[in-house]
Amino acid sequence: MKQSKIFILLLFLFLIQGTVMPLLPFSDAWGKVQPVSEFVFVALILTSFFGSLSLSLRYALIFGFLTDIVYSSILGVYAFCFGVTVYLVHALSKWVNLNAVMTVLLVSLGICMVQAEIYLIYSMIGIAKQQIEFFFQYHLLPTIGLNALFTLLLYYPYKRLLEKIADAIEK
Amino acid sequence: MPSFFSNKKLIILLTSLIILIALISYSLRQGNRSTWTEQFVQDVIGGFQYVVSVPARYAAGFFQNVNDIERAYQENKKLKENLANYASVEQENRDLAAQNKELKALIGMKNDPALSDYKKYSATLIGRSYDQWNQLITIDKGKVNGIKNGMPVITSGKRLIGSVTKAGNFTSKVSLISDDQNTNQISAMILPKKGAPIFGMIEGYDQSKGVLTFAKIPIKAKVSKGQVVTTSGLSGKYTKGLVVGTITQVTTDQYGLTKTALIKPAADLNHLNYVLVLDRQAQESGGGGKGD
Repeated sequence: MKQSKIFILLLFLFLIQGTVMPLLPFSDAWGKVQPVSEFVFVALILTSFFGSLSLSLRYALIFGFLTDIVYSSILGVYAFCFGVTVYLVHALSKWVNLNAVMTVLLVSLGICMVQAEIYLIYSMIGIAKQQIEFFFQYHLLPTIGLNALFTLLLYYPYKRLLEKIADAIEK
Repeated sequence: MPSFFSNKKLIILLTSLIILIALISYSLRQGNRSTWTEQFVQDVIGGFQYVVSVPARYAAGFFQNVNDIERAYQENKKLKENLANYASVEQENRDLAAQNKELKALIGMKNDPALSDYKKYSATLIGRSYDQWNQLITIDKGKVNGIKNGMPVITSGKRLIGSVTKAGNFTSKVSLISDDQNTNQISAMILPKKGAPIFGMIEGYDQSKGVLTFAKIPIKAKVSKGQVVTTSGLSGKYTKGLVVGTITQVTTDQYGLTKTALIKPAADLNHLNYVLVLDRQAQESGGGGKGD
């Protein structure tokens, strides 16, 4: 029952990404930059760090497919990239001491990986036709910045929420 | 030391890769059709999106207003200049409309679908793809409201923004003209002041410059900067006379056989709130919309 809190939070972030974030005038302020808000993905990684991996992977598949259906025209890409990246970042996190700074760094790495994977797959099937320099400069860097900022905001409240409902997750 | 991939995990990874490729090829082949599961999920999420987007639009509208106040002075100056021509243009327009009507009646060309008026459905934007790869927006009208796949979507002033690609029951997805999957189907034209219209195809969008590519223009055609490009109505998908944009640059293509022009889209694709969906199959002329 307590797990539903996580689901509701993820769904809320998922909706925010598609409705509120495109309204923010990034393109007016800085010209060509394309920051992509991957808030659901940030929350998924934090869940795998402080909650449990299996729960996080399950939600990664669910919300990956939701993204594919609602915000894109090709099925499966987001579900696959989310699942693989959450698993890899979680594997990396076992080797480091998880404090706030390290978490932000790992999340940024995860964002970097997931963006690159999606860019790669979309380029292969001919949807993304962006120069790689343009991708790095105007797409990847602002995206990492935006999501790192969001990670800092979410880190303490979300960690506390996960610790509070930790018993429910383990069962 | 934990290894990244044990045998079992490698098998899972490979299986999911196969599933991914199968899904991708399935959805590429599927095109505009969508299964009932997709439509159901799209409609359910659409309901939630609607709830979230209403207060968000209010807030955004406020900031937009503040921006508009800043711009108002310069716009006012520009508009005053345009206003001087307005009276004469309107008179001319009225004359031409009357003339057109008479001539049409003369040759008995009433129910030609290419020339008849169209039906308009107004819709509100409730969601948008947040990654830059997919240029899709979700609108709050669907099959129950009469929306069908392939209908052109415009914003005020008959400026083309895209077409409906996946109509659900209560919401539909619109693929913008900046989406590369959509653009290769727009047949467009330029109406020069003198002479016959110049036809070409709109073939893609350059994200780094924010311009559309207008290709396959005959090499002898006189194309210049500042000319307005509209849809030609030849492809059957888009109604005639929707404004696509203005030409910013003209070059010859790599073989020197045709000309290529870059077009700045007329509609501001980053700030869309209310859109109009056109149904070109309107039967009776006289009813429906008469432009803006």
